[in-house]
Amino acid sequence: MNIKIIGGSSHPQFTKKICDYLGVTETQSQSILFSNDNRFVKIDEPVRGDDVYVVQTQAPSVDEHIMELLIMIRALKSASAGRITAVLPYFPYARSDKKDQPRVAITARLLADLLETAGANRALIMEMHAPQIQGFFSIPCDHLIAAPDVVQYLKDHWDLTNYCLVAGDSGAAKMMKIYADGLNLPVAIMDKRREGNEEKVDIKGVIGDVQGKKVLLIDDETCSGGTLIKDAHYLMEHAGAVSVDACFVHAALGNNAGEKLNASPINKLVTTDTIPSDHHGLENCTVISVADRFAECIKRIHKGESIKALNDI
Amino acid sequence: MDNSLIDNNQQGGFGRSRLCIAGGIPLEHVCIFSGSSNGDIAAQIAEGMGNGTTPCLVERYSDGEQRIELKATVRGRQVIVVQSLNDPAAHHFMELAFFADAAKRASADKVIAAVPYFGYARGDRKGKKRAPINVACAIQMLQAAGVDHFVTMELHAGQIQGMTAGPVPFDCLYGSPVFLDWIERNLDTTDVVVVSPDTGGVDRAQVYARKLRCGLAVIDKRRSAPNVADVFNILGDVEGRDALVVDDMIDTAGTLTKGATALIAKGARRVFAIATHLVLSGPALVRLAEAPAIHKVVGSNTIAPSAEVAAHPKIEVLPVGQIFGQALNQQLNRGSVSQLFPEVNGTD
Repeated sequence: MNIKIIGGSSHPQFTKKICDYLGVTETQSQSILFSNDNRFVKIDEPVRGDDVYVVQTQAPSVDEHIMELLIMIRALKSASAGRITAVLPYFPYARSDKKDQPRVAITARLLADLLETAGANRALIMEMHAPQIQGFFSIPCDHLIAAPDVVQYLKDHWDLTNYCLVAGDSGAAKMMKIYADGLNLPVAIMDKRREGNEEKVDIKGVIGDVQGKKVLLIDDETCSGGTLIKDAHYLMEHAGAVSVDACFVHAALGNNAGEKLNASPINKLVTTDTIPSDHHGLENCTVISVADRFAECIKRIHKGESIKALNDI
Repeated sequence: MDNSLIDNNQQGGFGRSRLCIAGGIPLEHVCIFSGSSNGDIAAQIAEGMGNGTTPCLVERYSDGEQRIELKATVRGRQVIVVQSLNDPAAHHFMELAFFADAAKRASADKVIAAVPYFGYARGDRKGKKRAPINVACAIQMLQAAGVDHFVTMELHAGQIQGMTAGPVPFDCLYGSPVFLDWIERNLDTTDVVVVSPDTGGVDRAQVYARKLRCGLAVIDKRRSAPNVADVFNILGDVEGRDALVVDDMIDTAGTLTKGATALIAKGARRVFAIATHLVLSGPALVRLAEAPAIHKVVGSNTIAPSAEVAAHPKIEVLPVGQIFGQALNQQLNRGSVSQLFPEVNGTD
């Protein structure tokens, strides 16, 4: 089987980086919107019998890109592609991954079903909100984490003396452990209560000691930045932190998040390129590319080699 | 049939009169079978529903295989099978699957698996090393056998509800009403701190801290170096307070006893462990008995307590069958399950 890389319209730079690493040319396709708002996708090159990797992530508008991905997968399927892998640096809708409120949908499961229905044979996802989401797929689902790249970057470029990692909430606390072990730093957890489904939170305090410490807030993603900023204010004004930096894997930023973060007490930001973020105009923000890790993983999947070592720190 | 008393005494003599809510399913259309894992909780569940368990035969052939027979008609009925997947898990699992198969082949309308303790739930992710997702596999096998609806308690991870084959209802109940009641009756809640046993369990502990309006602490277990004992850091203030370590289960009690020791070293007055599922395998009972740091363990009967557990000086087992009974009644009468747990769903 030949390897073919094909990108949706959400993140062309990421697809290009993957192609460059693998030394292949991106398979051409066209995706247009008819005047009635229906999408049309056409794969411009033959893919019969090929090992095809479709790269799509979250970008506005989210639903539109999901639909585009589904149509691309189905088009490839109908074109007799040998094997189709949905490559999602960020898995949209992953945050609704359990029935934590009455009468809500597990949207992460729905999206997994949709990918399979469209015709995906495999999935490759980075830092899904909870590792249990792998169990939502009945096709093989490989999971990469960003921690090896992020931890290495922080070790190489930051002086981590007197730093303390802080998880913004109980969910972030789950993923913080791997960073805490990798960086060998103490941790603390924000104690907060989320009110409703809007990003309104009530901070009760900090569990653990950040007095006199430099804080690095850790989370898998941030949306508005509002929660991070609130945390930063609280940590500086009520918990005795001397400075606050933030690290989040997925820059799932909404409108104005860039301006708000730039004006906030957060000094430095570290994120990855799983979601395009350059248009947000973030200052003091380092974007670590994880495209090479994806490309290496794709190479190994293609060759039938183990990917286990890619998640080692 | 609206608001009338239904007499289901004709059904093999196991039923009782009971009011049926308009629009719901009359109790004569419900059969409750108990697998061999936990007859006591099955009886509690049936009683909570104003019913009795339906007679059935569960036997083991001399070669270890099992024989199951439903001793009452299930045609067109709602069949509830109560079975916990505790040790021997594979045996209990197969029994549940056979019950579902038997009910489906006998034209049951719907099979509801009431699984107080959902074994295999810790296998909820692939992890690093080519591991199966045990619980997804188990759920889908039970569906293949005929289970249409799952009802369980305190799942190891909420995401497990999404691991069914196709969209199938999967209700997760909580022991918290029973545990919170115990805490309020037995402890001075102005003087307690709720503790999460690890950084991953904070949301479970938060439910208790919120309801009890008390502080929250977290045990941060660290491996400092290979072959060196783990370090247990305590985040948060436990000084002079009774510490309530809240977890979904206690298995070998190794981490719990070490965490309790660290809590006492940080000045906690007494350590109580609150856990829905008392798995208590291997050295657990000895560890709990010998650990001076553990004052009391409060659990539930999702797993039938052995004689040793029942007689253990430090362990208290609270019944939760009535919570299942209420939830199943809500299901059959088209009511709300979430309203049974206001503290969990944030509606209180």
